[in-house]
Amino acid sequence: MSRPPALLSQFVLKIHSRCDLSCDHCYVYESADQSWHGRPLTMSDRVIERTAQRIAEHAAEHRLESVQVVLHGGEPLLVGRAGLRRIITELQSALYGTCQLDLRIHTNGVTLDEELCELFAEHDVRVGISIDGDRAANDRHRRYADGRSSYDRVIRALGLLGTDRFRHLYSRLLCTIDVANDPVVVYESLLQLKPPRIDFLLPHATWDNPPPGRTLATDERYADWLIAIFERWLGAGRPVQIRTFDSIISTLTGGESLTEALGLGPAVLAVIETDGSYEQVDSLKAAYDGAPATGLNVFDHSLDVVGQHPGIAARQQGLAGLCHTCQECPVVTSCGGGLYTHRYRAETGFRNPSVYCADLLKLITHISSRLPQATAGRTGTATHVVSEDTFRALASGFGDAAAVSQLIEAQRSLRRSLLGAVYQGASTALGASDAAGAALRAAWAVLTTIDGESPEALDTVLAHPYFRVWAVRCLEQVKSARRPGLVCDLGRLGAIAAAAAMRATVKADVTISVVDAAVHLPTLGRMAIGPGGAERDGASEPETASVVVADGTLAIRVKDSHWNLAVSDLLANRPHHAAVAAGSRPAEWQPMRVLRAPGIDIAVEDTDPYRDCHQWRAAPRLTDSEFAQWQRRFEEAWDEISYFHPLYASALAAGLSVLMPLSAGPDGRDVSATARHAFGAVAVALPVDPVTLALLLIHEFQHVKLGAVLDLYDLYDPTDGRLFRAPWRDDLRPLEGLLQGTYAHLAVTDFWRVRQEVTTGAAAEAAGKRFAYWRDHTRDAIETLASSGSLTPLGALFVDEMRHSACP
Amino acid sequence: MRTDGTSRVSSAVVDVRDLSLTEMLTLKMETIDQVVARVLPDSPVAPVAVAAFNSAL
Repeated sequence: MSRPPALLSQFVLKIHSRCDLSCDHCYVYESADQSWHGRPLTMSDRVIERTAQRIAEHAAEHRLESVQVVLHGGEPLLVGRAGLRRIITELQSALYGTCQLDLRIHTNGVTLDEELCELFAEHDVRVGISIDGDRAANDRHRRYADGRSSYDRVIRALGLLGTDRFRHLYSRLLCTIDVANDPVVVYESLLQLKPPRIDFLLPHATWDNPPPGRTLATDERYADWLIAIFERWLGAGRPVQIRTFDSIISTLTGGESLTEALGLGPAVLAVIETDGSYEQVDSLKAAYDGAPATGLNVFDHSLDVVGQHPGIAARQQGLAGLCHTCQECPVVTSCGGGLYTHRYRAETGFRNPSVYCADLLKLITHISSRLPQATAGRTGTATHVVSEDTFRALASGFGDAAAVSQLIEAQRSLRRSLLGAVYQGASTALGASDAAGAALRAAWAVLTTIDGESPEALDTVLAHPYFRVWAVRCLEQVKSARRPGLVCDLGRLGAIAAAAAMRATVKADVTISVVDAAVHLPTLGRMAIGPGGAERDGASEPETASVVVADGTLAIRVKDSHWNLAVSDLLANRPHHAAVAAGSRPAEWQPMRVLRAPGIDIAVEDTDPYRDCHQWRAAPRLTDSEFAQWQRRFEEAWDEISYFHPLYASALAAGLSVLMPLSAGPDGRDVSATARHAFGAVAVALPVDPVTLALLLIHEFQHVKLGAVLDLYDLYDPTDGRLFRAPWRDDLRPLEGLLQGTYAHLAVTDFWRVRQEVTTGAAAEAAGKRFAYWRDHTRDAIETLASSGSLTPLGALFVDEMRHSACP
Repeated sequence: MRTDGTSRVSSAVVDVRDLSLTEMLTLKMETIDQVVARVLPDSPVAPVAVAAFNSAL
């Protein structure tokens, strides 16, 4: 099953098919593909116009926010200033009002002059320049046809780009590696040119046409060359962006790849030649004559048709598109099989490791080993680790309290990072002089004080499962610039500060949004207040409460009403009828209540405004009698779990912090849920019997555990958008959904296996049937996962442990 | 399996537990961005794979 095509968003326009240099390592002219011979010298106006239209219609149809166009060649500056202006304005006109245009030019730089720089400044065209290092290194290949050096002219061009007038256009240097050059000399000479970024490019090669200087496939001289630079770069504190290294560090720490030459991201690039032909990525010229051709052109074919071309689709398959060797490689997430072209072998096509496999493995392994140092320069910290035994225990469907505690510690890092990101993002979005911005800064000041004086108090409040739901919502509001929503959500920051201040006995004076006629304090409860004025219309900013924590008292003021509450009562979760100091609005403090059983306490979250994030609808706040019913049922369920399912009990006691009551399911069905961002919470509608509640708690906590594992590890290729059959559902599921369901049903299977053994008669018979049903479905699903082709090596290990558990 | 040589599986989440909130904001946000990007892949601060194409002329 192949993936649906990813949308194209990068376009390389070959605006001139010849070059004024004659570099002997050029992939355009010196490679297997010789199609340049038959191309027009330049793009005609007709081709340019149609190309711009094609890109614009593609962007409009798919509502792309931006596209990137790279003017390329040959040598694009040979088009001349007038020609370049025509091309640039044609593109900008076509895309105006449709999407942003990120326009770049890659050039050898030898004819770049002040007038061209002014043209690029006028139209915001970023310039990348090719240079291979110092004079000796550059002159090894980058010469004119008569043998003259190009070095001085390139240096002159870089001098122009280094001036204050044009520095903002200076995009990067592109350096093709020649291992005969001294790597450190090359790096230092490029660094002196003060580039914002350097790309070190492996010379294009295939298994049929191996890299220059290479005699054995196990030769690692390219890795050694790059590692020498990496160490110099790292030792100097990473003074410049180097895309290869940055990309590897990014993927090793969970981020995206930054280059087509590494990682599992889909190819989203198409090339348009001077005659209007669409081609695949042009490095394919190094594979064989005609390799980049698609047989499509701008006059007859849309970019959607290009995106469906088998050659492009083949580079959008992520892990599943790689050969078996790559799929099982420990560094595949960072490497991604290397550049597609470099995998080619005439006998087997592109389904091979890269011809640079040994180099990439060594380089990535080396950078991985230096990761703490690589990140220490920025943070002073390393990444979270989990013991292998713990990983395997979690993968098998179990994992004890110690295992869950390791997941909890990683969640602390995630929550603190999210808090910082929300503050940073919101500060930028709101502006310095804004009242909401002032409230934000006041709340942040309280939080930093608490963090310094009593960090455990802050951690307690941040550990509330719906903190992350809130943070993600804020970041989404920042992204979409929804100011009223953002201002309302940011009121929660004051509430977090106030709740933590009460725990830390720190003074606080903050502003909190009034939501659903209540002032909410996470981990404590809410002050429900009577109606007080006009309803919000959604566009206006919310009613706010002024909240002061000082001298053991929580003082809340909403307009002319004012209430005082004793902090000690609130921390003890005691119900409290607030003393009305002024005004006329009635109010009631509704504390967060706690379900208790031997060895476990779980907060019942039935007031938080961010709790309704599950698949099923949240129940309104429980009445006292409803809560009493929950308490009885929970105690009975916990007896079941701790006696018959002890392997799950300790993990639940360690990691389950909140139970969120759901409204009854349709037709009285038992319903339960978890939310990916709400670590530690399960949502359940009260079932009629304790055994069902025990099952639902165990089932849902599997999702909680796996969600935390997925926060830490890439178990599958995230770019795989395919849907898969889950035996227990009518609809198809994405890979993560299938993994989640299978992991949960692993525990369900185990549950019914145990019930079959501990019951008798009809109950045992019914349990046996359920055990067989879930065992078979779970095994089927495990095999679907294992054969998906999209599991990372760690994911394959995880699924293998699941298989051992399901098929003992 | 990606381990650090002591039977521990290295994760993709940077450990910022010991960083104060103030320190976090005085740092370059790169690491925080990466952590956030794991939680929210399309976050406004997620690293963006820009200019993936790179071929020298």
